[in-house]
Amino acid sequence: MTRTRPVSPLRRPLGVTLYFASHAAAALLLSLPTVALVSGTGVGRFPEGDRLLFQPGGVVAAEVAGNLLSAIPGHVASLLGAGTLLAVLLLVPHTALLVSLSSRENESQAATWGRAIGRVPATISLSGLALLAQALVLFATVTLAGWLKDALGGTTTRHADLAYLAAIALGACLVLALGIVRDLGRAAVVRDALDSKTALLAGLRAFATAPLRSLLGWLTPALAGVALVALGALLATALDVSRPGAWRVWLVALVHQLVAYALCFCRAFWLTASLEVVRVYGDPAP
Amino acid sequence: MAARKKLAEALAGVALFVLAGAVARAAGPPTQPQAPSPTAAPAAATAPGAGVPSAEQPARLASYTLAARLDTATHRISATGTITWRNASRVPAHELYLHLYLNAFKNQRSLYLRSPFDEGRSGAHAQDWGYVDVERLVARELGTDLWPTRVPGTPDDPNDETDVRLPLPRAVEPGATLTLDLGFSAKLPVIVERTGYYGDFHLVAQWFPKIARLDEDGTWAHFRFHPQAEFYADFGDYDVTLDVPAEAVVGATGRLVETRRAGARRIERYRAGPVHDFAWVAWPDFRERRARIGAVDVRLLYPPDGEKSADIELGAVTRGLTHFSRLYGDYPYSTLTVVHPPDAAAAAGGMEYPTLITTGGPWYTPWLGARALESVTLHELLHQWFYGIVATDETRFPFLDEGVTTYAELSALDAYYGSGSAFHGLGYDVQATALARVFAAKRGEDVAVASPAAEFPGFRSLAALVYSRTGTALETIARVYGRSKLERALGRYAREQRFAHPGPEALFGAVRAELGEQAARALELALVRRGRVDFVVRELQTARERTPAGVFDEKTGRTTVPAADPATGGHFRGRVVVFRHGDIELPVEVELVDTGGRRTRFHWDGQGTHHVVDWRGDAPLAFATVDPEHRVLLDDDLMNNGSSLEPMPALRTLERALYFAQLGLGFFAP
Repeated sequence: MTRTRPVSPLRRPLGVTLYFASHAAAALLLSLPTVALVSGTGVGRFPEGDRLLFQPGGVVAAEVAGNLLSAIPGHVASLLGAGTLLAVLLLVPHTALLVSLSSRENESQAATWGRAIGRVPATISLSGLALLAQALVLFATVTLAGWLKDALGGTTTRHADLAYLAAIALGACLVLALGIVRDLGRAAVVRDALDSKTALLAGLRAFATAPLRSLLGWLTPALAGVALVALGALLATALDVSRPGAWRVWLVALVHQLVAYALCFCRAFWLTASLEVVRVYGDPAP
Repeated sequence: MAARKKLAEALAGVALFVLAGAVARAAGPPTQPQAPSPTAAPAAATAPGAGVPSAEQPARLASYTLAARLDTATHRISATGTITWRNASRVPAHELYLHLYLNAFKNQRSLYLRSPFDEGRSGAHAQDWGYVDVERLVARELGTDLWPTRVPGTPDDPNDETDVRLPLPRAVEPGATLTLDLGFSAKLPVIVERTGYYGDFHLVAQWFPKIARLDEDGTWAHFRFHPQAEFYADFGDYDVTLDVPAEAVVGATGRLVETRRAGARRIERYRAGPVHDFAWVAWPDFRERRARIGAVDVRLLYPPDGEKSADIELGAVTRGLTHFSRLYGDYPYSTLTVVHPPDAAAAAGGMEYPTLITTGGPWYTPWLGARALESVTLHELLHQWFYGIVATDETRFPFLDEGVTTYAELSALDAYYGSGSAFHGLGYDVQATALARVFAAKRGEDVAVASPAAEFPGFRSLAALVYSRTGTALETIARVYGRSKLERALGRYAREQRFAHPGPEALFGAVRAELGEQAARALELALVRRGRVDFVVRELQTARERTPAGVFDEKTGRTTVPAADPATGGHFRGRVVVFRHGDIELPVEVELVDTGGRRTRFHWDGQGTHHVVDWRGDAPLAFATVDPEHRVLLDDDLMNNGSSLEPMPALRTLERALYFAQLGLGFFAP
């Protein structure tokens, strides 16, 4: 077992960049069928091209959506299938990033990725367990929230709806907490080469021992990520790709990719924090 | 002739208004509604109601004086009263037809409920039975109770009890009046089709026996209550006294002229006229707002959690009442009641009655970005003109009320809220007309839009054709021929047919008068004859202009002109063929764009099957687009309106799809 402190993502720019690149490649694979679907509607036959889809009023966007209505369910299903497969594959670069952040020693990318691949089976297994737990919590939450709403049927609709939303929000917090435990478990897999069950217990132990530190470690980059996405949306709205000018598209693409890259750093900061929480609180009490 | 008749009726109206007012003041508020005496019957049948300028008083052919008591525990209404009916046809009436709409919910043998599918306009089945029990219906002048001799109004469907025929022992001559003294009780269903109860909320509509309309030629416009249809009746005066629990907040058609407490009950008396229906609501939890808009007292009733919705609805009414009065003639009544039902009774929302409309939407609607509240409020408000004042037959020609209203609503939404008239948020704007087009496109050949409500195969078809396709057809006319001209045409139609019962020809006539024959023909094709249109760009070609080469025999002898180098030369030629599929002829613009981005417009009057555009320019032709501004919203397929030699890459779509996929993977697959 290594007991070294994890390293800041700022000192692993290549690792973060590779993580971003792998996500970007996966996203490109996912987006191409959608682009093909939209291009197939014939929007490229107009001089404005797909700028028509973004024009205020949405006459052409509504037309395209109407034409694609019957194809959308199948398309979404195939996207979900491909997305699930890619999500599993993306655990490799994710684990590689964790590995590179777990040690202050500078090792080669080949060594890092080699070590990461060795940890991937346990990471996949742990992620599956966490996903199952999250699904159960979600199901229970929706069921309980429904009962609550029915029980409050005598009050105004707003009260019942708000109570329902509050219950759902509570369930969502539990799901997020399970996600944090999963991430702590993944850190334990990488740091201490644990199997999935032991790592999950280590993650739980660390979260139970230091809930505030865990939450803050996750929440800070998460909030920064939300702020970045909002900023990106504001900039994209201001640049307005519905107006003529290819430069607008390129500039919006640049803004969005910068946001996506920054989000990878946010993610990496949380991974460093998770490694540190596991380092300090992950071991069983002597 | 018609104008002279109207003038005579107007003068009679002025005199009778003064007389009726004097009688009412002298009599004081009655505890029971006073049935008019037989000798006074003709006067009562044309007595003007409150608020309508005397200069435009229409004939009151069916007036009702009712006293009703609501039992909120059993959801029953016990009522007595008088119907005064005048035979305005040219022939003696040997029978009367009575509509008992509430019987649509009496059992599953009714036309409304017999289908196993949810076919009503609201898509909901009755969860509790609703019906009307008529106890007596005494024809005063004939000295007999007509009810025991009733027969089904539609003989081949005796199981449906919404249409009843009452044979008369003695004919009612043209111009004569019949006074019917009636007693009845109505049991309300759980809210279905915009009537009924939910808990202690009551929307009391289609609740009383209603006399059908007799056309001038002596034909009764009677019908069973079809799940897809609405109503039709004569104008009259309504004097309705309601007896409700004291804590109930009541809203009703017309003006409140008397209110008093009677123990644990409260008595409210409403007068309305000239109107052709009377509806009311009662709920103890209503909140209330009042506003004076022009000469109209507006009252908004809404649930306790609907403050924000109330702001929006009152704003829409304030804007709409002034705007629509300017476009379609003054709102003729002194009151307007807007009801937002509680969420649990949402099926009561989105309905029009004279001087009373219902809106609706969950409490969180204002925060969704969609303009659903504005849309439904403006739509129902517009029905005050296109249903209330211009009282078309909603069963025979539903497009005349719902379709014209939909156009006017879409036009108003676009005028008020621009490109975000249906949805505004998340950086996207969606226009109401764009959404209507999506529902209406490609459906031109399904069923004629101008069909009776019952002839549509289902309510979805009716909604797409009657609402959306009519709205889209009129929007197309507005965009192609000018919105102000169409507004003038609709204004002319609404003013000329004020307090009348026009058919489609009146609408087409007004369009013809203001926009010309081609526009009227296009509209008629689209609405009456299953017309459709689809502009298609084909055969886009471009080449360098060349001097003719070859061997030429001239007078001076044979010369040979060598072919020029295809890569050199000055100008380019282009050729584009635009086809018009379908039978609706509309003028359009054709826009050509060369590789240098230079745009050239050509006009095609839309006549003939196709139009060839020959073009000459400094660079090769790259794109051709027909109707680049999307004026012809009726176009079946907008995506074949363009053609290019090299398609444009979908860069924006790629950029946005890539980014959303990155965000999705980051969130779901961290």
